[in-house]
Amino acid sequence: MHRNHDPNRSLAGYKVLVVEDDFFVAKSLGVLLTALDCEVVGPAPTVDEACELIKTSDIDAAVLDIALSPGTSAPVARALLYKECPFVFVTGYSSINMLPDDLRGYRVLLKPVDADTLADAIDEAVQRGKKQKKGKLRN
Amino acid sequence: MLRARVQELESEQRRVRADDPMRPVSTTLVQLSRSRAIDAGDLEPAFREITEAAAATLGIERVGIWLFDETRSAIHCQDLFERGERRHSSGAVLAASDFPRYFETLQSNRTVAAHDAAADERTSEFTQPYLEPLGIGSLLDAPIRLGGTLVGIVCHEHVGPPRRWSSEDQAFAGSIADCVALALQASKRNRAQEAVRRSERRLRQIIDLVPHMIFAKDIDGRFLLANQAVADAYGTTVEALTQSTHHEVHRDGPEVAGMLADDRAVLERGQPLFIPHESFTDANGRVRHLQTTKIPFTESGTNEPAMLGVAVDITEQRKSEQRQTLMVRELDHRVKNNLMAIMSIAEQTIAASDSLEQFQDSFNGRLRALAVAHEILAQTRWEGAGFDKIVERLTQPYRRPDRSRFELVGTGVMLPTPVAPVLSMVVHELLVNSAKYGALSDPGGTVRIAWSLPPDDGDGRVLQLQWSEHDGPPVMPPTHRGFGTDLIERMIAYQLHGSARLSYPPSGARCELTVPLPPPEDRG
Repeated sequence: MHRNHDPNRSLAGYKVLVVEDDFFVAKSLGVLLTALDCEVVGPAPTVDEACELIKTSDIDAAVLDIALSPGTSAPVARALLYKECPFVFVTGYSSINMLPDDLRGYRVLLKPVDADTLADAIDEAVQRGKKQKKGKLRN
Repeated sequence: MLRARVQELESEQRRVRADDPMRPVSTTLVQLSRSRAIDAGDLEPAFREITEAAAATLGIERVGIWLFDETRSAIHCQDLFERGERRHSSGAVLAASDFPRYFETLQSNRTVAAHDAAADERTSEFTQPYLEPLGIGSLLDAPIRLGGTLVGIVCHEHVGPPRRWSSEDQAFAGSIADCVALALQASKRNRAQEAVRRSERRLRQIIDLVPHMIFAKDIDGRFLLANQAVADAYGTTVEALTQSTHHEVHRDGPEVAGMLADDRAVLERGQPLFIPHESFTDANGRVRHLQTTKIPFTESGTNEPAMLGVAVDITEQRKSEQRQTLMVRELDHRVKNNLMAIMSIAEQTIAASDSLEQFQDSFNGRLRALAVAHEILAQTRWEGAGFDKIVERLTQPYRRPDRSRFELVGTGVMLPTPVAPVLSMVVHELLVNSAKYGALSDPGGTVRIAWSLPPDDGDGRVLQLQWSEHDGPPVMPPTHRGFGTDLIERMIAYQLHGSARLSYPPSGARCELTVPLPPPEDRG
């Protein structure tokens, strides 16, 4: 299923937080990430559990379902921004109307997600995070 | 002449009763000119008053008022006064074709004074059928004209030997005919006015029945017209409204300002305006949504510019549109989530299957459990699913014809939309496990499923479910945790934030579930 990885893009060893309230979807994302040689942190079904994991675990990146029951993953995204940890959103919605304005610029993947798209998106988020950090150091 | 007339009158007077003395002509005409019945066009009393007055004044026995019918082929007696009997009657009909000379004469004369009616060639046609049987000697007939058209006759009939009609009598007879014409004219006018009033009442009734708001306003925003729907919306009456200006009755300032601005635009441009949507806060503070058309016009009569408005309440329509939009989004979300869930179920079922047949069985069963929940949710337009319905559907394939295999104890608990598919999957896994290893694998085994939803104690409602198997084969705790068992415990904990406890006492497997139910508006 996941044979065509770009050899230059390795996420091996990345610790990826999964925030997703649907049991099966969370499992599925876990399977995808494991196939990409990532280590799954979580999954967490709620904002509270996700924030607890952010506090207590070492995280390189995160995959966030937008709509949670109850609420949205916006507070999780803000906690990650504070820690300068890259993330991507996934959603079943074809629109991103549920996201507040300050979070509209981030990459949103549409379900169902395949391994390559997920890998690309996480990689891109990580690279962008690195650039921003370098930019800050130069200033 | 005068002496003869006086003698005539005196002899006439002797024949009339003492209580009905002859009256001077002028007195009679003044009296009739003051008649309310004639003035009001109230025909029956007017005619009675006229015939009685004429008979008394001329001192004659019979006075009749006859009117042509619509085809003008016959005259109908409207009122005949017989003075001796003080009796009124009506209804007699005379065909014009039977008396051609008489009717010809009427066309061109103010009065027909036949002193000797039987001998007078103008009236002799009546001798046989009319004059002789009634003993009538003299006739003084006056045509009634309305707008130049002959519409009837007043017949003054003297019973007894012929008498002479003086010129004063003849002038009086003409005046009597004019009185009848006045009454007819008033009656016609009244009928026309009544028709206008009736038409106005009918229009009023119709616009008040229309469920949409209909209103007309002048350039100052004063209501010229408003129907009941407008009055109801403002919590007032149509009468009160039509004495008010729009800003006096509309409580929401910005709203009425916008509406008046639209009115001005319509009046200034002289063009109709279609407003697809405007908000309207009614007298109860309820916000209604209107679709309004405003049309300029000039009021007939005054030529003042005015504006007609028709507003249709689209509140319900908008609500259902919004519900539909929400539902489409919800379905979109669910379809995509489900696709990923199904991928995941497939992956995990593959991992737990020894053969393709086994995979097919397990996978199809799980998809059916999801499908059952979705089908029941679809029936309620995704507002929730009855847990009893889910259990009923899932246990169906395992039931015996006499239904004795399951004991279902519980009331109709409504599961919120995100909860229903999960619990459907859980019950399915419990059934599959039981059919493989537990009570349902034995023809004598039974399963009791009991559920309840204790009242909210402040922390929200929590569904309690007890699954217990009876009379099955001796129970051996499973040696390894299968996908089914794993799914039940982890799915309940992860997705529903509840707990599942599976236990395997020798008498039969048991499972206790505790599932907090989120309020209905929560979405998964």
